Amino acid sequence: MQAVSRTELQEMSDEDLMEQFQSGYEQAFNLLVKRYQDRLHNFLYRYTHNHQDCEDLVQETFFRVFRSRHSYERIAKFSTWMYTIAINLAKSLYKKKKRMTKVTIHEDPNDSEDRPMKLEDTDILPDDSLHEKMCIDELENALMQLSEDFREVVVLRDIQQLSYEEIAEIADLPMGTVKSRINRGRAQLQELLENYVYPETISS
Amino acid sequence: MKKTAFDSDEILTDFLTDYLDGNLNRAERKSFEEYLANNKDERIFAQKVLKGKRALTRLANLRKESTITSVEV
Repeated sequence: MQAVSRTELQEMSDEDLMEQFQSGYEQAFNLLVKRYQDRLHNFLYRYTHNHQDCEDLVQETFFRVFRSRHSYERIAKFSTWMYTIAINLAKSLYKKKKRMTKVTIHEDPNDSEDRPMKLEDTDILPDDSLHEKMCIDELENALMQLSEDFREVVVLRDIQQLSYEEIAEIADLPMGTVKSRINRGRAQLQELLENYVYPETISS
Repeated sequence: MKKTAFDSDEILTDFLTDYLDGNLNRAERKSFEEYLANNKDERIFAQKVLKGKRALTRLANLRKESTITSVEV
């Protein structure tokens, strides 16, 4: 094995460092940790909102990278591979922590007397936490699974942010049908997302 | 998806739409929330609609971020 200097290692791409690490240079792994530990922490914080959980997840992610180094293939970017490991770990942690919660349907932040209505929510996941764990591909996949009738109107409304009048004109539908389809499309998307994260909850 | 009153009542659908868009006044909102509190299937449906809307908003933001990142790279 040809010796590699520390300077040479520092100038290497992530993928080259992984190859060095696979060849036995632990120094290369240490450099990858140095490059990514803060970025990974910040990335995971968006999922967990808890610094202690982030620290544990970062440590576990690097442990998995270390242990699985020989399963890494250069066809994937190192960062993509590592972030995938991290996201899966974050999802597992979330599953462990899931519990019954109460959700607020609505609250007016400008009205001090407007107390949020607490509706017991035993069968729906806390939406913000759920969605924050989703990457763009998962959300796109769920959207693609909607029937075309629903997908068209929710995209026009929630992605393109068109008015109901514009959507009615584009889709050539009565206003009532547009609103009904938008609501049903959103609800169906939410069901798909819940089933995606927790497939064991899919009802037959 | 379970059938709810929203499938057959256009006024109720309008209510839900305005509720989610923040177009109800305080009294209207309270009365709609009271309706939801007393009708479980409709409440569950409304919660799913709200969460689905948030997911789509998140997707829209992610698409924007992804476009910005691509341009930066």
